[in-house]
Amino acid sequence: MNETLAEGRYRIQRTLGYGGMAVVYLAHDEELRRLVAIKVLAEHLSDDSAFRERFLQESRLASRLSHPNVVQVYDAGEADCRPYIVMEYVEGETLGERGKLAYEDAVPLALQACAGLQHAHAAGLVHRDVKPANLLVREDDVLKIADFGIARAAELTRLTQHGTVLGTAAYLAPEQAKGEEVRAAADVYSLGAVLYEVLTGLPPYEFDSLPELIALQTSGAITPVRDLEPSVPEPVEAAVMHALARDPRFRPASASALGHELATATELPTEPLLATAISEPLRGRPHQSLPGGSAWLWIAAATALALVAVVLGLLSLGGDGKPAATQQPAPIEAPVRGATPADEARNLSAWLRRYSR
Amino acid sequence: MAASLAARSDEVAQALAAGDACRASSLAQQLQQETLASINAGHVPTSFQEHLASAASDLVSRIQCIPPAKPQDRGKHKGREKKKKKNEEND
Repeated sequence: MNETLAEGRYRIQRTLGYGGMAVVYLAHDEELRRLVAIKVLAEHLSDDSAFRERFLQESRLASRLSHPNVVQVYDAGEADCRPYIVMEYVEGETLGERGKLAYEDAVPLALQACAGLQHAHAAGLVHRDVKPANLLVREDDVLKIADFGIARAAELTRLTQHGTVLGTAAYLAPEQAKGEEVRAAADVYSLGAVLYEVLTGLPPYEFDSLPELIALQTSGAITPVRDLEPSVPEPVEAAVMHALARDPRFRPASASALGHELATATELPTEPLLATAISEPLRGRPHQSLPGGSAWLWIAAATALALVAVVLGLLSLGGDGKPAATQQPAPIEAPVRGATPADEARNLSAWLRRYSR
Repeated sequence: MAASLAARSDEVAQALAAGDACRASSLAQQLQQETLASINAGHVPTSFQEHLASAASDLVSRIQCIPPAKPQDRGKHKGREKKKKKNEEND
């Protein structure tokens, strides 16, 4: 690997990690004088020109996201025919590295993941590979979702069929594992699977192959969270199991709806973490916890919580004014994808006309 | 609003049927932008937003605009080679 990228703008400092798809480097942006993480596509994948183009295209889509709980994509390019993405550097560890957590620690992190996913879904982006390794947690417990768009690029070039790109399938939604159409509900399932594992120490299903996983997801039962970890309150268990519903229509209506369920399931003081989910005082935020802080911090946090509650409530409200968590699944069918893009465009047009009557 | 998006979607289908993938791609991107603008403006009920935004995004990603090769394109390939060579020298 070169010591610099983009004509010297990014100076590579060290390797942060290796994955099946890419190598991640820590680098210094000489122009803006800040540390960045640069993900360079693995050499064996760079040979596939279609994948290379898709990787960059999806990265550009992801770069449009701007949210405190999503790793910001700054730039993308190619060096020596190998595409790379320049991203915000998040100093900390992955959720996977944190291992099993008490629900008091896990739920606030999950709420931040819900906020980040909701932002992306509202922008039309589905992550498709939500897993502990893609959830980065800073020392101050701010969570950021990484790798938006990358799984999408992998799926579209069928590289995932070899099992080398997505890595573990333990968090895949049933419809995703079966190769069916994937929508935001798949991310909700994956986050539920992550939360299940964080709380219990085990994935929802244990399997040796993708066909075995599909069989289990079709007819197997998930051991209830509290059977494995009795300290988890029942409402938290209910929210996690709701997210893990086999049929996407029976999951929480959105990531924010799942967040709403989790937030109301616990009486934990989650104000500071919720506040970071919608505002950006992150870099200047003191590392001390709020309970040790001054009164005005509590007032600010309470105000932020109220605002979040309103936002989450509005996002999860259905047409009859009841929270989505307690609603029956909305009987709205998605537009049929279509065998060709032309069919898809026609189907979308018909769908719009059908539901606008 | 829905009628306008539906009309735009029809235009995409027509451009594809006519074999003009580049125009279709451009129209699909317009459709996506109009979709997001409609959602942001609060014109799309919450329960429809996800389906609509995903479908528009999916449509954009499925349409590939590949302009037909022209004789003068050779110069571009040479340029690419030159750039590659320059990169190799920088290494």
